[in-house]
Amino acid sequence: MSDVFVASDHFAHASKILQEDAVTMSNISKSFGATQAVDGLQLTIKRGETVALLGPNGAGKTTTINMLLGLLSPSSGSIQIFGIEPKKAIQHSLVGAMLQEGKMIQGIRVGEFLDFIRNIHPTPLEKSALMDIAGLHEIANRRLDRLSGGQSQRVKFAMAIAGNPDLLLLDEPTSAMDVESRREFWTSMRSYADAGHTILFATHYLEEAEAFASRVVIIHSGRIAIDGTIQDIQQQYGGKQMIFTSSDASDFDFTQFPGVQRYEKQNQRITLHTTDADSTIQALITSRCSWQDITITKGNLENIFLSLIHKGAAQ
Amino acid sequence: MKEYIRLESLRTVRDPLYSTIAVIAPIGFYLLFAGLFGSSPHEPGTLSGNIEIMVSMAVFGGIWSCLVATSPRIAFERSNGWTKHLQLLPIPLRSILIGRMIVAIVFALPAMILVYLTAVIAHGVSLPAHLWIAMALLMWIGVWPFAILGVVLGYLTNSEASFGVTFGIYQVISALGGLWVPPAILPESILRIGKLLPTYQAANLGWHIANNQFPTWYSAWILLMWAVIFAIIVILMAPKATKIQ
Repeated sequence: MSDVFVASDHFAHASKILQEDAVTMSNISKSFGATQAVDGLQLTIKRGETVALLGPNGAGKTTTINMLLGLLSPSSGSIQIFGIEPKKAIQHSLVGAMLQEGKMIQGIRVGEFLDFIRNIHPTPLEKSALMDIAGLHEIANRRLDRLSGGQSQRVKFAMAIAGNPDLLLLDEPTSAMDVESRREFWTSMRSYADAGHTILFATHYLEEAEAFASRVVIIHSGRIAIDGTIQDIQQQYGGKQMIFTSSDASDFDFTQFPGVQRYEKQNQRITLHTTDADSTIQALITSRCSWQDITITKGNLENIFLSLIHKGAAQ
Repeated sequence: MKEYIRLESLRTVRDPLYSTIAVIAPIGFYLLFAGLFGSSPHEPGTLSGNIEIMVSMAVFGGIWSCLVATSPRIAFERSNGWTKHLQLLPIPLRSILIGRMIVAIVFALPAMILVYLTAVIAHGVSLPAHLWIAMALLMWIGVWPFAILGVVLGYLTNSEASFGVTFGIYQVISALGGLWVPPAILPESILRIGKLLPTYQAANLGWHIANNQFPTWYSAWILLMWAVIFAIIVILMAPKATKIQ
């Protein structure tokens, strides 16, 4: 009789976890003394999403991740990971994380360290699979304190996924990697995401967010400034840029053209920021403005990011 | 905790600060001092130099084993963010701390036994079996408080200062506690301080037993008092020492 209860209880717990959102942060604030690092953050991440967390230095990215991991407690608001407290989620091996800092300990070989990490999790990944994913085969016998920056990042990645966690939190995972290891890293990351795991990563590299995230959250001054898919954001905030040279540009006010939000003029070089490139180019052709060497580029996150920071600085 | 104990044990086995200072140095010093002063005649009822120095050096090695597996590692991990990584593992920090102290005291035992073996082989020291066992066991327990002291020092220092501070304190309390110079020739004023130290009292357990006497309760109380003081400091400091900035 008691066995039945244990079994059904276990099932109830597991199915509850399956129904919950991966991350629920409601109205989170965190201050350190007089500094408000995070200010009323509201964020829900569904199972299976890959979310990039972007923002300038000091925007509150690391503080947010530390709170999601239970390393810091919010000053106010509540955080749930699969419906439970962050610290409990860690104890249940539901969350894995890769942190920015942290020198490796001395005297332990990579292989021995993986054995240790695997043995403390209830349902770890197979050791060979883990070494495949993180690319550790050739350094299995090296000591942890004698690894290069990129190699120790790979060990930290293995450490994060060893317990096969449902949610993976990565704080600037590729910061110590060269171009080649960065590409390999994201390939591993993608296969981990494809297996249905939820991933939240903070990054400085906008191209990483564009390439790997299904959703981008930009925080600025401890608040969410932008939240959406890359396509949404590009449409809503990025638009397109139309660049050309013109000898008589000073006669024209390009903001009168359809779709143009603003423009820049540098000598004869004009950059129009437009939300509707088709209408803008038609207006340009029918206008009497002279133009040469026209290129149209998709607005990228970098531009959005820059305009956001400038806006913040102006306030 | 079992897994963590295995990990820390590997670190200790490979730690040159353990093998040189806790294992090789006490044996070397024993051979040196026992060779110089060990066989001089002693008054009836007192210990021969061979045995007295054996006890001192065993305690000296055992203490360092307790300190080296705790203080420098804790300080390094706190300074370099490793403590943060440990908090992301499904093991409570308390188990990690206890596992670390267990490794520290377990590795004190071989360091101490090697000094006894050196005394037997090099200077033919012999004691009845029951005295060997009682002495080795009680002296081993006598160095346990130093594992807690190591945690205190690990919390108080950063990775740069830890080794120097720990080694310095180790040398000072060893000297004041009569491990370097036989207590009989220490000045009375220093000996009065020395007798309040856990270094002196851990060795005093061994000096009594080797002389076929019961150790004094005073030794036990002093060691227990220091263990409790260190433990209270650890409990008070732990929340702040492991906090993430």
